[in-house]
Amino acid sequence: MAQEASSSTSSKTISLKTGDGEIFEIEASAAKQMKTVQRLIDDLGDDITIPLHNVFSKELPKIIEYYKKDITGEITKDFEAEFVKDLNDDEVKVLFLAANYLDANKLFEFLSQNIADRLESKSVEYVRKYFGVENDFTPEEESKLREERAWSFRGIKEDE
Amino acid sequence: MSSQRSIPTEDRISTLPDSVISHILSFLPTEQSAATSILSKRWNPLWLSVLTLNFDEQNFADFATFRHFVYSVMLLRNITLPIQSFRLKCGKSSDFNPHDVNRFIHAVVQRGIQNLNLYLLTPWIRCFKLPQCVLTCNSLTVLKLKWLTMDDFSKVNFPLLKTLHLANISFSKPIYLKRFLHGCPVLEDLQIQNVWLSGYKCGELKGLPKMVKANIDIQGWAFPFAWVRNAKFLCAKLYRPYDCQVPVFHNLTHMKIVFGWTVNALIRWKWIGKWTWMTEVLQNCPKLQNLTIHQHFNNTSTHGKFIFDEIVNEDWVDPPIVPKCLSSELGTCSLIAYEGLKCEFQFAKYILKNAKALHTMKISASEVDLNIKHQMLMKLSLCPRGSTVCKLSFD
Repeated sequence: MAQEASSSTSSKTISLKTGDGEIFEIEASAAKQMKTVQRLIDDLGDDITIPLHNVFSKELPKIIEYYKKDITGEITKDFEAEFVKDLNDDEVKVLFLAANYLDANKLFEFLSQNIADRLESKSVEYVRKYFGVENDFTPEEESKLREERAWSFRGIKEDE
Repeated sequence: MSSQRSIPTEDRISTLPDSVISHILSFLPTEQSAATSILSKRWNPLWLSVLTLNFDEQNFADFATFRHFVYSVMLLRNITLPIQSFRLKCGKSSDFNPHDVNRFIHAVVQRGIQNLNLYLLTPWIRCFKLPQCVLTCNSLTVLKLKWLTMDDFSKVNFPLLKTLHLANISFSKPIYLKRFLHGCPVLEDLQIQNVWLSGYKCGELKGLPKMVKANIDIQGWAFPFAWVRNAKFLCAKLYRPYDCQVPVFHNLTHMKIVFGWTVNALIRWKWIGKWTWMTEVLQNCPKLQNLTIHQHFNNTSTHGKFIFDEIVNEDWVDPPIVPKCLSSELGTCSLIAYEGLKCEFQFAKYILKNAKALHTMKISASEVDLNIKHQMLMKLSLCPRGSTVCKLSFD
């Protein structure tokens, strides 16, 4: 496990390989922000291409874009708003899962907030679909719950 | 390592652990996260394990229904589970009862609260008084208060408080604001907007030692900037001549000054020497890298603008010594709501000439006619530049 002592880690780049076989470069300092990547670097060395089985070429560039801004301290509310502006709910979900897998804390926090914002006032059915939740309540159980918690359904849209 | 086959998104999202789901729920208003209890048996208890509570009266028919919800949640939740973050926004309804809010706050400060956000919307005559128990809640790291009055108090103890935002708060005497800030020894982020004091006089003050970011917007009195002299980032909105001494900002790298105005300011205060004051400020910021000046004319009618120009804007005078930050540090200078007034142009010219490290001079004149903008740009482009890499950007 030969590890080169690099005099300037800031200019070193790491190669990442997505689950669908594409390779992307990222600065070592940005890689540090993704704990999963850093762990893999620690285990495998920083000279080989790091395999990321659960991240794909569709979302990795976006993640790299985010951390490129992060290492220069340029992440602002405007940047974050712009970052998610053109993404639909499913695209955000995919990014979120990637951020979770990569243990990329800052992005994970930001996307958690964004998902919550998108789900606000959506119907129960929408949220179920979004999270892939199987409804295992019987109709009787469900209506009893709705009755008990009637106060919490104000403002939530009903599906259909 | 695992196989190369990709796992569908649906499966991955449904196998997310409870902690991640709870984390997302913590960003929702509490009544929305409560609604997820009917999603499935697994989801049923998750919302109750969330450590963040966020209550907003506007989503409820009246205060009585809102109050009922808050009490229900507090009772349903496991009593030993801490409340890390609590946000409460209420006060608009006619049936608002401050005693209930006092009870909520009392319950919360006993549960290890770190982040407290109280936004009261009560009209002035029924302004809510902050309960004393908050002032000695020593677990707080973030405190945000909006539209309350502070009762007189003897002690404030916030040993862990890093962020303090006060908006539309009144203190009965200036000493209480001073006492408040001195109870926050590790404060890093201070935001003060429309804090009312009567009879404030500038005096000797210690700077908050760990200050990083300060945002000050006060109309009726001169905020003692000495309090925030250690800050790296400062944004200050001034509505009247600043007559207290300007401290030296040893760490300041980014500064934004907004010259606001109110009808009162227009008629009562002539700030003769505004630009001289600006020079003094620059002299006192040896490490300044980024400067923004915004002359903010709220809804100015042509009439108002005419008076303003005449009364307030005197000529720029070149200072005898070039401020240290200009010789070596200042990289970016932005002028917002530039109108091509003589003093503004002279200031821009001075900066262009003397800022040896300047790489960007940004002029923002969005309200101005295109032809006039072009003329302004031409005029500025002709000014000699002290920095060979300086780019002039106009929008």
